[in-house]
Amino acid sequence: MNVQEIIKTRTLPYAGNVVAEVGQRVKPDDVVAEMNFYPGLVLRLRVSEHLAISPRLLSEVVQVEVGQLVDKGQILAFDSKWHQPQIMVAPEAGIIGMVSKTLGIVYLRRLTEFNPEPFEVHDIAKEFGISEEEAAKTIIVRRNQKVVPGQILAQQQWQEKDFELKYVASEMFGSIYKIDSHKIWIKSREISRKLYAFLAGEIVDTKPYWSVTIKSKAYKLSGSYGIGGERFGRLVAIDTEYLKDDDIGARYKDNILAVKGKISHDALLKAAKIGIPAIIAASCDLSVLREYAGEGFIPGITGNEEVKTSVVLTNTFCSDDLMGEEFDFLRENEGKFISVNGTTHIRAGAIRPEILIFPEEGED
Amino acid sequence: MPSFIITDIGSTTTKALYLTKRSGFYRLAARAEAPTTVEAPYEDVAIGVRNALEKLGKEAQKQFLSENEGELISSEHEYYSSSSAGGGLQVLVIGLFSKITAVSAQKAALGAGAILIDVISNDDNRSLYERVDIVRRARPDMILLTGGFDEGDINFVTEFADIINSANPLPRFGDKLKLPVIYAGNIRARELIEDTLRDEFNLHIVENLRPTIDKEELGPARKAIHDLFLSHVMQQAPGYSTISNAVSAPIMPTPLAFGHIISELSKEEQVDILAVDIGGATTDIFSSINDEFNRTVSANLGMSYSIANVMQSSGLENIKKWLPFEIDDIVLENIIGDKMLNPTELPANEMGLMIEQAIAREALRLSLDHHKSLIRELPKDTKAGSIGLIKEPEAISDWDHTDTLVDMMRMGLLIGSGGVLSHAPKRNQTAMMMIDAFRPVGVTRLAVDSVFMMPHLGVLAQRYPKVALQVLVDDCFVPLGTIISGTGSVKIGQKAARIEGHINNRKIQFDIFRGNIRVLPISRNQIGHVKIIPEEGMDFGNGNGRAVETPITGGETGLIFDLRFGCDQRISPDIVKEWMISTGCFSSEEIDNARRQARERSRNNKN
Repeated sequence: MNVQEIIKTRTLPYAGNVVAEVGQRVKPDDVVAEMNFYPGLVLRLRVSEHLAISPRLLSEVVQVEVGQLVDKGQILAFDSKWHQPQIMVAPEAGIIGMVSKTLGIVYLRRLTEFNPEPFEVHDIAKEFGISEEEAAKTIIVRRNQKVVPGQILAQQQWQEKDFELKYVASEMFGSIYKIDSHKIWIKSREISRKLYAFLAGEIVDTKPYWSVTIKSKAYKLSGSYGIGGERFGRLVAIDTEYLKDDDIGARYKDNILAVKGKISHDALLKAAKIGIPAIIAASCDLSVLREYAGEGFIPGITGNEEVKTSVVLTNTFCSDDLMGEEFDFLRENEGKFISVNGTTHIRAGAIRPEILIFPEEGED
Repeated sequence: MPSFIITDIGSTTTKALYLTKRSGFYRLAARAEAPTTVEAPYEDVAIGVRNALEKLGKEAQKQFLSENEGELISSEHEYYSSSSAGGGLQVLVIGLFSKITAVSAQKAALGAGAILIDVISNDDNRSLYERVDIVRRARPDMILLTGGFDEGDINFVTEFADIINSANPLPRFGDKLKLPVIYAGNIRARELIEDTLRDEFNLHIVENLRPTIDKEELGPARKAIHDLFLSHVMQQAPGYSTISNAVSAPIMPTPLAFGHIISELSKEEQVDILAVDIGGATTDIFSSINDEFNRTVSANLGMSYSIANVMQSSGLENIKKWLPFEIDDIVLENIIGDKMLNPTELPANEMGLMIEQAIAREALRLSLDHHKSLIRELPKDTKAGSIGLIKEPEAISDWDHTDTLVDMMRMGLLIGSGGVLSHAPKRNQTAMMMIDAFRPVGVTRLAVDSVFMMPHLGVLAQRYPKVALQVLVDDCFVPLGTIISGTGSVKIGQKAARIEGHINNRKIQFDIFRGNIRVLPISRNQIGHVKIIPEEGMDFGNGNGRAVETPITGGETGLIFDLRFGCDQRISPDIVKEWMISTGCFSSEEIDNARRQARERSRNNKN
């Protein structure tokens, strides 16, 4: 097998900071960019209404630009046509998202800090200060629904003097794990604030706030099917026809396992528990992968499953054949740092899982 | 009249046909195909078209390609083409409520032959930021922006115009060109939309496609989509200018051409038609109901790339109920998974073929459910209707209570197309897949598109509808026969109707029973006439217990009386075996082979 040149652009899902420089050598587990905040709830600030001007005049009074970071209390708009100047200030810190001259609205994106907790729990009754029964009626999300920071989970409207909206919002990327009467549990989707290099190589380009391009050399193997996203770790080869949970011990934590044969359901669960980032195997029953991937699994488009251990198969589901030359090659490279991505798109423009083995210094 | 060269430039294959007059009628004289060349390294669809025409010429022993510089086809032939290459016509659809304007907008876009990249609505549970993100990343061919009745909300569409402006999406082809945006929403917001989008986008304002709750005006939006497809998208797509200059009528998106020939046929024969095109990744359902054309696309239901998604959506039990054998769940799931990984592989044995056809039934059933859910009656304009809707958004739940317009009792013709139907080893298998999935009621004819030439004929029908319909009947359709089915309360095993009549001057007279299926082989050239005299409690199309008289046309399968469903029929492998044998789908020996194969596979897995 020959070493290939691989060039990949690694892009943050939302703007942040690029922390690597052109010319820098990186390893797969090096952070190359990171986000400080999630883009949170968008606040619609009705500036033209507040200043009693036509929406069309908004551009004349707005003092900030789209994309600008503003502090709480910072003046967003200023108008002096009345006897005394009229201003509108930012009710909280955020980023100016849009300015609508048709609606007279400035859209302020709140900054939501990263939440490292695995779960987020909201007691709606407590947060609204209402009865549990009333609180249950204000919940507007449903079980398994995906939520993003700032997304409203429960809302309450009432009118005493002015119409007012009270809400409870999510502070993490996740999915609604449980709703028990007035309480909501959100399970984190484990979106990392850090963007890793995934490749071992050299940074050849950067785009401020967004991306880096890395040039690398690697042995590349393609799988036939996989689940789970990008993972990396040192390679360990296990020469067995059927990987059972007993075959996996804590010593394999943080290692990527290459298995000559098939994987069992129990082995997969144990691997996830121990902290094995990925398993490469000849085969696995589709029913095992489906169960392991959980609700919302789409067999033809994978990669976004919330699984601890990614899986890459080299043969088909039905196959009893063991991995052949590929296993020999993986075994030869045991101990090396490798990257694996289980993402599979079966349809046209197909993406198949990839295994990248980076040669060590002097090896080519 | 000239002879015709017609191409359909598909995602992977360019299919060319040659139609010429023989003995006073147009006939399919030759057919050829070549790989489509829209992708790198060619990036010029005209190369694939030339290759296909060269092969077509050899087949017909004629020279179709012009020797004149700058001319694609020699002048004695008229040339037409449809296209779905490069992913077809990709539209991003935006509507106010998911079940109201967004549905109307989807119907408009799908009816124009589009592929929907996404459908965004105010109640789709996505945050504003996610919507901006979708618009930014979409790279559509165009955006269809709708929302608000003419007396209704304007905030959503004006805000969304700002979102589009802010996201600054780029068109799929031609980075420097302005992305087309069609506005077909509340007329009161037009000025604001124009003000926001006029400078940066190629903005087209047409009639509101949902002016009130009880009215849809899909025509202007569909026309705008089609016009922009021709003037904008096709001009930017690699190599299309050569094709555009050579054709005698505008290039049509393939699904639109497919739908066009169905509409023409529906008008000509004065029947409602339901047609399906089941592919590897998606399944399209077309219907022509009261001269209204509808199309839906089930994006994740197909027979190869999406086959495992069919299993995921339908559940293993629903697939297994169509099999004449027991099989281990894990084995069945792995077999389906392997078909997904090797989409071009054909079934290796009887068991594989029966599994494939069982999955096809489920893919077709789910696609029809999807079609029925979108093609509905519009709610009546009552106070609880549009006014209530504006003031009380929760009134949109009323939408769920409207009836579907897809009434299987009224369908006069079912048409099947796509590999699993067109290339089934026996035509009876095709007929039974369609019957089991669609469950027609009353009297319904069945046909299958034998050579995938409906898009070609649809595009020809723009100029020559009579020629296109004549070739459709003579060379494209394989008539499968007629199915007679009824609904009602008569219990399983009891007499449902008396059948009297004649077929080719031969008298027939017998009873049909609830729970049974019976096939009379009548070939395509045989005709007949039957009277169905239902028992009290049964309806065959004329109401409870009322007789139906109908002419009968035959086909590859014949005349089918199907009363299996709607009567607590318990389906088991033995019952399925009985049906398969009595309908001529599989022989007893083939089923026994399949049973043995399934037993062996299941046993091997347990070991």
